[in-house]
Amino acid sequence: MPNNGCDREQDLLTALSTGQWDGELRAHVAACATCADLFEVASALIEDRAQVIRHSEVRGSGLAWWRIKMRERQEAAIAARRALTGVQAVALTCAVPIAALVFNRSIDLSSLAAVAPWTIPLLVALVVWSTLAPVAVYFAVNEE
Amino acid sequence: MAFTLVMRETTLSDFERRSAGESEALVRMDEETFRAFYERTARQVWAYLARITGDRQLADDLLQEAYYRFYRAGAVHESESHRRNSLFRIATNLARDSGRRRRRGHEVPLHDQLEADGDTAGRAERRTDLARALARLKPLQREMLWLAYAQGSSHDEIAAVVGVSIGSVKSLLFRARRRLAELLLGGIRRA
Repeated sequence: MPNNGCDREQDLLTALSTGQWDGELRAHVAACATCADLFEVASALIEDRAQVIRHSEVRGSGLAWWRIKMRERQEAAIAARRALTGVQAVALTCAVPIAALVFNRSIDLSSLAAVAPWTIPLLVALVVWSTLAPVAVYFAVNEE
Repeated sequence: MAFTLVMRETTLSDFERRSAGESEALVRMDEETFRAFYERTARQVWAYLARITGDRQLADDLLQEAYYRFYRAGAVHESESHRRNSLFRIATNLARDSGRRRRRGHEVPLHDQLEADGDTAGRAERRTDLARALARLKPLQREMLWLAYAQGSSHDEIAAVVGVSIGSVKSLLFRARRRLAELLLGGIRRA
């Protein structure tokens, strides 16, 4: 049997969906193995779908919408926390060499302070800020 | 504490605004449009998921996930049909992913979980046979058969949803139909 069906398949499907049959089509279904299979399968599926939908308990659209927006907000918060983690990593990466620079005995801090008095306090403030600011922001956005 | 609270609101809002700005290229449905689309399609999608997974509770979870992903995709659709196909494609992929994680052979005769109001004994038995027969098919076969004959999708729509070429839909559907008919008829074929 060729696996390309029968020319009357669409007529059969139309009859199943509309409920309008004629004798000729019924006779054809009785004689054609392909259409007989189609009738068996399609009628079962159509009936089953109607029953499944009739008995389904799908939540309302309002609740579905609310859950989507809640999840969207939660995922935005998670993304924000990930970004902050990245900021912390960058800040620590910058803070460590700066701290090493500040406390490196090979640097003549007195000369540096004489040239630019604001340099050392600035470096110290930068190290402190780089360390504490991400922590503060983390607790600020932590919804738990 | 007040400073912290202010920081929390400002920071979270900043990130939300930034996220919204990054997604300006996407077209997200507004609430009214989404809810109307949901009302038109949710039961159909749930029925599809319930039958191809054979698990009502899983269908509940996948339904919510499918609408979330559909909404977040923010795609622009040419028509209602196109939009519906996109949703069914997402649902199909989710069902397949869950199937790969589940144990083979898991089957829950769906009709047992449904109220039997108006269901005659013969009809209930027929639906049991269908549920069992569907469970014995390959996932792709279940999907195609449901879309073609229960949902009334065209071959183009079926190809788009299940991810096969249009040219192969007819032959795949034919084989799937024959297999299901064999199972329903208990292996007895008409001459």
